[in-house]
Amino acid sequence: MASLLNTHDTLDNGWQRLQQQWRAACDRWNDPVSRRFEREYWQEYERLLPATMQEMQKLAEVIAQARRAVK
Amino acid sequence: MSSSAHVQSIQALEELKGALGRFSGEAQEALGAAEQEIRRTLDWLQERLNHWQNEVRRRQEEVRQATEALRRCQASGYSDRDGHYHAPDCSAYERALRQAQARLEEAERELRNVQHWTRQVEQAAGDYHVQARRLQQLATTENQKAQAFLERAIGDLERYMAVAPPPVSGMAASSMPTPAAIAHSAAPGFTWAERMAVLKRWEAGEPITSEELQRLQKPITDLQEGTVAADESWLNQILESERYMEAMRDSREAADLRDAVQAALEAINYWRSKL
Repeated sequence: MASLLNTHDTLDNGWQRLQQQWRAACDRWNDPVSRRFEREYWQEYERLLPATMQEMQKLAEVIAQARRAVK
Repeated sequence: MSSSAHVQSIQALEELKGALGRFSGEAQEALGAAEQEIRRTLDWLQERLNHWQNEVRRRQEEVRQATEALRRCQASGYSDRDGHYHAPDCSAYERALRQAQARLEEAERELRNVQHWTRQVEQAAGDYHVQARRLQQLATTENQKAQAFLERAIGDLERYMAVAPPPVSGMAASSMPTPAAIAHSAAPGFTWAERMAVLKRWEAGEPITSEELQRLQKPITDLQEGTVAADESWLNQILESERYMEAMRDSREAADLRDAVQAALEAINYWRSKL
């Protein structure tokens, strides 16, 4: 349980850092190319990372319950 | 956009590209660690399953033996000479059988419990894997494509800085599309005939749309050695035309066109140096 939760937190921290870097880039890079990058690449990150971490969290909870329930 | 703004953009893109590279490693490491945890859990559940299956078999045997012992005890009663039957005291055997049955029920319950949680973990792992596979793809192939995109954008900005004309007083510099913007614009390029058609329309006093302005610059990205001279000649014709001189006085459209033409000429010079 602790292991998968740690993994979740590590991924979450990495994602937070990447989001910060993207916001910093947007402050200095705002043209049709940046919008195309956002549309073709960045939006997929925004869609996929929260969904993956949510499933990882659910899995961690199920594993924790199993560890407690199974003798 | 000023040169310093381009430098900042290049720096921002390089930092973002670096961050993407780092995140790719972090994501793949996290996915690998999660996979190991799933494997460890499923292995542990399988070990528990085997344990309780063995326990069920072992305790079934205990019940069978206790049942047999009780049967033997019950069969040990006898009738005396008077015909009175003397039943044996088998209470200890009955107690042993009840205990064996309780232990068997416990093992069967634990076996069902392991099977239940194995299904739960497999279901949750399956749901997770759907997302994890997509993230794996994003963190590897798509991440590399994103970095390559940024690399090209950085290259375009650097080339633009190498050929960009110095800022002109009063020019709407921020509206001037960068080579990067042109190269990645969704607008398709013009053929030579199409460019001439737009030029003639413009010379006839008809308005040019912003998309056409963008497309006028688009062919710069696919200049061919054989058309450089013609392109340059055409652009110079525009700069020398009466229509251009007249429009330069107060027209925003002309300012945009001037930006486009000057950027195009600079780009041609750059490309000529590469041919």
